[in-house]
Amino acid sequence: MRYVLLLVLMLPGSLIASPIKPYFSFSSESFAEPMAIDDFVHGLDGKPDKGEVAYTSSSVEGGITWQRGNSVISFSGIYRYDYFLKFSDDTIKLLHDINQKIHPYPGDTFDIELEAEQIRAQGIKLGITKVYENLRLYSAVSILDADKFLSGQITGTITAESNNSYLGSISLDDVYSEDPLLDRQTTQPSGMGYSMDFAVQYAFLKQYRIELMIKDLFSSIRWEDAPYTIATAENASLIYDSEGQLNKPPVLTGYEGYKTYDQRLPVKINSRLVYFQHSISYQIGLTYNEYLTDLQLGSSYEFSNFNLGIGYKIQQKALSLSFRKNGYYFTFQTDTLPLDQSQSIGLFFGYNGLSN
Amino acid sequence: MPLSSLKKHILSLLVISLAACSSSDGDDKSTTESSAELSGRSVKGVIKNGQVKAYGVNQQGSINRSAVLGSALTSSVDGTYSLTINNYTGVVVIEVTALADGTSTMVCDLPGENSCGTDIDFGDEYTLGSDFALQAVIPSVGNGDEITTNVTALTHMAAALAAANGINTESAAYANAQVAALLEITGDITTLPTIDITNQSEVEGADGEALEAAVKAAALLAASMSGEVENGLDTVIEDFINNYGQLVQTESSGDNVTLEEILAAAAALLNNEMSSFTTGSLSNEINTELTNAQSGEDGALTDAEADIPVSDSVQAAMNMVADLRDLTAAATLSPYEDAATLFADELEAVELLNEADTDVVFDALSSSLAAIGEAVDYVNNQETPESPYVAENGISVSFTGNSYNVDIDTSDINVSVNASAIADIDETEDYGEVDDSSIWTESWDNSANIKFNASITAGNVTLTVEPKAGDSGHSHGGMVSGSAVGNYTETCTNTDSAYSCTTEETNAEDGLAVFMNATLSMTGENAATLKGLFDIELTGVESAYNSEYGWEEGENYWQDSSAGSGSDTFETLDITFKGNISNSNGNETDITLSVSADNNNGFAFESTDSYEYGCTWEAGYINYDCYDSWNETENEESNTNWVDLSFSLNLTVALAGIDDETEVSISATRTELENADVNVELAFNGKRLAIVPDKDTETITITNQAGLVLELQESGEEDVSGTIKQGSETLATISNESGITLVRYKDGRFESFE
Repeated sequence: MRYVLLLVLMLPGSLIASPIKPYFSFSSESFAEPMAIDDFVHGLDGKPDKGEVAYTSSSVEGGITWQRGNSVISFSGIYRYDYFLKFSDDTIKLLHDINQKIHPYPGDTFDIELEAEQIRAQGIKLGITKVYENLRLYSAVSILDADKFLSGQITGTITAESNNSYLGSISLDDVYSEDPLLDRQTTQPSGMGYSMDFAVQYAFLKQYRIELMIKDLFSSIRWEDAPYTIATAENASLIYDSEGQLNKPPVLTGYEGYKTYDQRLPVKINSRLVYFQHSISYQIGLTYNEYLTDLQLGSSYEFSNFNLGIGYKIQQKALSLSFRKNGYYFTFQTDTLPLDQSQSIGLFFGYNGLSN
Repeated sequence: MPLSSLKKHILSLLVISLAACSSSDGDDKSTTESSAELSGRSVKGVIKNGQVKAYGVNQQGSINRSAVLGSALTSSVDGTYSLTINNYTGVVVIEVTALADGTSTMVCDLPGENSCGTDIDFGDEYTLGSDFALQAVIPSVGNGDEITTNVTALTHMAAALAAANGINTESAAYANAQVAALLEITGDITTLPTIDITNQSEVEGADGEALEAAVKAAALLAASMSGEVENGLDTVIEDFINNYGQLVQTESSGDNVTLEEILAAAAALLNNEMSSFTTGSLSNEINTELTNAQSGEDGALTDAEADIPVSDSVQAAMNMVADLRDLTAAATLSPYEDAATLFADELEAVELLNEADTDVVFDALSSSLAAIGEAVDYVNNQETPESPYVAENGISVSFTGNSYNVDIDTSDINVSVNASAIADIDETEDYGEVDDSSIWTESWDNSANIKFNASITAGNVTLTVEPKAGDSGHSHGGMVSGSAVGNYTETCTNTDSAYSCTTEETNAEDGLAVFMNATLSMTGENAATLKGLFDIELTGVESAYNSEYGWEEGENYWQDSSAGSGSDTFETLDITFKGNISNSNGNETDITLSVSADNNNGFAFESTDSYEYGCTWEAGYINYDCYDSWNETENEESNTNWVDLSFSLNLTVALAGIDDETEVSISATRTELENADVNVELAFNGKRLAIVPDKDTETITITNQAGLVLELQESGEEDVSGTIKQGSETLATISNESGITLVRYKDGRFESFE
């Protein structure tokens, strides 16, 4: 975040009238497929629907663009926080039941799968846009200094028994900056790396435009001395050795260590086809983030000095409203109101001097 | 967003199913540029100015005396030493010998007069002769190691066993562990702190296990020595080796040094030379072990099984945790739902003590013995006593010579008590009157020994009592014995309208003892049997009671009144019980109980009582009104005046999955009015754990045979933290993570305790 603030504060007002233009953007999108985000965050209170994904992807960028010829160079500070969770239906159902002190029927079996990716980083971003008559190409590289991360998974199978007990085996393999499970006291690892974005925009047949934006197409954050844990939890069956001696294995065993870890960020793709008819445009798009693929439909109307748009993400069942004027833009997205019942919430706003 | 908030749930998911040799070839090993620091203390008694040398071993497993790895002298003050060995790793033998110039001495810690030589008693210094040698064997010394190795009678015995087997890492570790197992010492005998048991401050500042080891080490020499101090251990070592690391438990022939003799020597030390030292409940522990040893079959060997320590310290810590986990699991195994049920089942037989019929049979025994006592008194005071004698409680006692019999046979109870009593009754009585006054005096100096067989049945409960087989009785001469000396004076005055008396009674009893084999059994659905040998001794009983009572009347009143005050005290009370409890399910628990009370502070149970009863009226007997009042007071122990009390309880319990019976020893010593030092020891599968709770700091310290110390501290509700240490090195930390007790080892491995 400090890189963003630093760059924004450095911008003199005179830039607005020069080839060097400021820009700023904020974007945040959260989605929890099995239940309302608020319930998901606060202890899985709600009854879970089927669903395998929950994520938040947020970023703030602030910087400048400089246009020379058909090239636009952008330089910004960036702060980003992302987490992604992917899980099986059984996992969320069992977590919910545990939280609500509901014991499943004896014999119910749960396939446990839980993957987590998390990163919090800040840094600088350098981008270049090449503008041709019908084609616009964009690429950017971010140098990231990360201070928080998690990458791991839990897998296994559990069968409910009577008397609030379970049988099964679960494995954990995670690497992190802060131990999310066992409160291990560790030294803070340092993470440095990069990510690269690409975009293309192509207009054809006068009324059509196709847009493709790929974020984190290539990325790697190297964590030195990253704490990690490998653990296995399984029912500790009593074992008798050949001499009849009892051996009670521990329920939980594992290893904690440090290692160098290269974290790859999930690729996010946003594509859409836009059809223009006078002041109205119609869009159909596809979003993809390794965990969720969603189809998006939308339309916007160009008034004399501003633009209003509406969109709908089918998978998230989320409606969005957008407003754009003089380089400023604002979009809000949700699947329902009030917001504490929403499973999808998005907020995007910013300013781009070049669009002014 | 959710990741951190999901922590607890994910963790519970992770553990949701919770409910549910290194080898030495015996040859010296040389390394380049290596060194190790060895230090310790030499105590046989404390060896001052002794020559310490460190040796390696050769391929044959013998001490390689051709190369001294390091040498030093023990301190002339406290017997400590420190030396460095260079360029060597492997098994090391430390040997302490006497200097040729005669300046090496030993603090004599043997019990008895002239125990170390003419005019050399406990605490005196003894000059060691040239044939003195004391050894310890260190299983493994590595580069950079700083090793504490004390050289004691215990380590000497272990070194001899290792040598007999060929000294190497394994035999050395085994030998050290075997000596500890044999003498029921928890911890590594080479590293347990050494104590100069002649030094009161050292003794009173000592850790319990260390003190136990020190006393037993001294007792080892005391029991074994038949000639000079220098080679006093030879006999017991010879027996130890010939019996492959065991000793004869008890024997009548006197051919071997037995475990019983060693423990008896330890008890003698504690009861005599160390009697003025504060040694906690050690005396009771030793007595309990002695009682167990005495109960063995004549000539049978001990069955001590060593828990051989591993050289990898982290693995040793993991083994300790595994032992605790296994023990906990075994105690909760089916058919026992939990540990409480386990012991409740095992001890279910105790319930028979609560049976109403049990009260009846004990009352019958008590009444019968009281009647016999009266009969004995009667017989000794009559020139021509006539049998039967009917006692005040109505029980008829028939007698012939010294034999007294009570036989009752009714539908409710069947009593048969046959006693032989020897009594020395010396009683005088005197009564005199002067005018309105009278004086009654009585004095006695009596002693009695009664030996009896009893069989009493009431309902489904039967009590049988008999002398110990082949035993002539208690040291006092009978199964129930004692003596009493006292006097009683009553002075009264009597007028037409008043009668008043004062009484004074003092009584001193000594050597009150009960010593008998008793079996209490119950038939029926909850069939159970409690049987064993009871030994109860009470000394220094003194009691006094003074009172005033009387009656008076006036024109419009009359009143009865009485007021008294008494005092009872004693010097010592010792109770031991060795027996077992069994029930119809086949569960059987051996129990050895030892309780000692020492009234050092002279606490006396004091009481007062008074009553008044009377009536008042007005002329013509109108408004007739009566009243009565009754008061009793009793004092209680205070923070500054309480009875020293200690007990030791030893249970042997069969647990499923634990090969040998598990021995549970609990000892406690009262340290304050409402506080006690408690020590619990568990012995199972050759392993030993000592558990010491500390109420003040809310910590529990567990020490195992390898000398590892697990310390747990309660730091909140359901929250614990702790460490496992070997010396000053922390091998593992223990914490509570969302309800899971997690043990993290220093090499990165972790496991749950559950």
